[in-house]
Amino acid sequence: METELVIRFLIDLAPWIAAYLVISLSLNLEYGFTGIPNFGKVLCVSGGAFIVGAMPGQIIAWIYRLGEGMDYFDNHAQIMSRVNDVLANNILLGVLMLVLSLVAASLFGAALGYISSIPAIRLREEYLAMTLLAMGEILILIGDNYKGFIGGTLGVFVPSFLAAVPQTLRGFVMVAIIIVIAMAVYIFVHVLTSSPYGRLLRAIRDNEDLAVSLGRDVSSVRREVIVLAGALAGLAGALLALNSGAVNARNFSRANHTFIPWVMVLVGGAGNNTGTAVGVILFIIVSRLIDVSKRELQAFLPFDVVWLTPILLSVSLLIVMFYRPQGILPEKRLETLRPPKAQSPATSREK
Amino acid sequence: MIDPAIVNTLVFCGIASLSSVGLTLTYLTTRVPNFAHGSFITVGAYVAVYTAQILKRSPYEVIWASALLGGLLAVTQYKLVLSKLRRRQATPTLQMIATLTIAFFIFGVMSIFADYFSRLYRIRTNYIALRSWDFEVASIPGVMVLSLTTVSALTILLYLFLNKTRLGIAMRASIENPALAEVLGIDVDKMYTLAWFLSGSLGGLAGMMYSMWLPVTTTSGDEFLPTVFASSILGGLSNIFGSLAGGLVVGAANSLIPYAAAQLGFVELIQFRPVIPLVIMSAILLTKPQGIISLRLGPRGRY
Repeated sequence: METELVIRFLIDLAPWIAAYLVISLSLNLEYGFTGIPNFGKVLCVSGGAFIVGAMPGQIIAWIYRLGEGMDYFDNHAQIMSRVNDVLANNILLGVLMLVLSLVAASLFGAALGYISSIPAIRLREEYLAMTLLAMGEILILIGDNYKGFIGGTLGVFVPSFLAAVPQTLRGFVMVAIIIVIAMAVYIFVHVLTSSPYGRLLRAIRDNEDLAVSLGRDVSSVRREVIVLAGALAGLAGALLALNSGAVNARNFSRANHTFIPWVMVLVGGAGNNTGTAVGVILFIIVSRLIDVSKRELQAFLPFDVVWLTPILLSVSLLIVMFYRPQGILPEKRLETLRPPKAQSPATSREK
Repeated sequence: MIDPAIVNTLVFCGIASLSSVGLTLTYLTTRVPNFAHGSFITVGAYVAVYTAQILKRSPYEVIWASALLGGLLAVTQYKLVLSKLRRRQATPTLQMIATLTIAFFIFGVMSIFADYFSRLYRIRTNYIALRSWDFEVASIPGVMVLSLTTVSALTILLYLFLNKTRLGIAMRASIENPALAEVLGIDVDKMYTLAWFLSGSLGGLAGMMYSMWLPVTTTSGDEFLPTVFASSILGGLSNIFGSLAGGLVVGAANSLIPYAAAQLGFVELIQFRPVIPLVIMSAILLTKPQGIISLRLGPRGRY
């Protein structure tokens, strides 16, 4: 009984940990390794989620002519149940659409990253930070106001891509897919940051002038990183959408999708992917425990307990910044192969 | 009756220019944009909201309280967090994150107050506009008068302060060359604290103005932040009078472009209103990142 509860708890948490791991890894790639202060993470995350909300359902409805003469958003529930009926009989279509959605979300995230980096990429970091933050919420505001994108204030459902899988297994399969994607991203980011390219990123972060003097085009490398991190953040947004099964612009915010990933990266240890993972797991478990113990706490407080979370978070981040700025797991010195034993300069000069 | 579009424009201009002057003031001291600047607006707005809702008095009576609280908050932020982080040699990015963190701390505190007061006094504390508390002078809404007077008073007083008073000159010296100012016996830290107080109180004042015209929520100020950034960048980010003018331009664009679009029949375009400050900001950064407005005022010009 006890173990079953714990397993249940972990299965509930796993997709959140996975999605936030991908967001935080992409932020770690930007800030931890390259030193780009991306204060607009929410842009690419919301972009990825919105694409999953907007695209596959409409494509399926269009192919099978499910919504003839009806507005996709006005008759959303009706059309979506027809879409899910189609998907229930066609597992291939479901898988295809799932893959297509993930790819589209990444591409859209990459495009948003590229666009948001244009104005300030060549300027000092505070300009970049201000522009990215200002760009961050734009998609949310448009998605919330403009009905033709993701249904405006009502939001949209995400098609049940795995409708052909038996009901009892569906949840597990989806969670498994999300976890596998997150682990693949972790391995990818780890390999990338340990490669020569990763060393280039650190060089740019630590000494821009040095990187320039070695013939590197710093702004275009920065842009590459923002685009790549945008693609990963878009993918993470898609994972969030798949996990919740619906997309609503109001569920995305500067607090939840920019600030919290920053807390995770900084608390875990910037420039260390394992540290980021530790930060993500720690944060998600602690915040869920607060949620669970909410009812006990509520009796003593004259206000909603949820508002304690921002206070707790910001205070703990400030404490980390003051007393352990390197985070729980600090960045490790890069292990490179020992260079072959060189002849001592003295002997070489003798020759 | 005055066309609401005119009031709208003037109020937006007032809020944007007051806030962006404040943002620029603090940017000049720490060389780090303050991402918590929106919180001063929120706090100033809520002082007005609670005065009207709980004390049942006009927010104009406590306009000083909005400014004072905003100022104290800014000084606390500077003294408790930023100046200490700077002493620990924190990087600019870490300082920026610290200001973002403070914004979320203040958001949490404001939400707790909003929730607590709404339970205690059974009042609405979200999406409140105080237009009904406003007065009218010859059918001109008070908030419009307020905006016009504060912006023109701010321009004159700032000019006099920065150019004609010893304190203002000392502040400019501390901003331009802190080491040299210190040698001359100016307490640079005190000057910076004063700059932060001014910044916060201008934010609080802008918040009070905001509450008299627009619905207030605990994220009002944070939502206004991109507009403030756009205004400051338009003014060159290190030019106080430039950011004042930038605020006027962005504020006007923010309310006049949707209005013009609606008049011309493109009602659909209003949904894309949040893009306006971004377009201005991107255009400036791409073409003239030093700021489009380089007003030369006074003997030393730059401020």
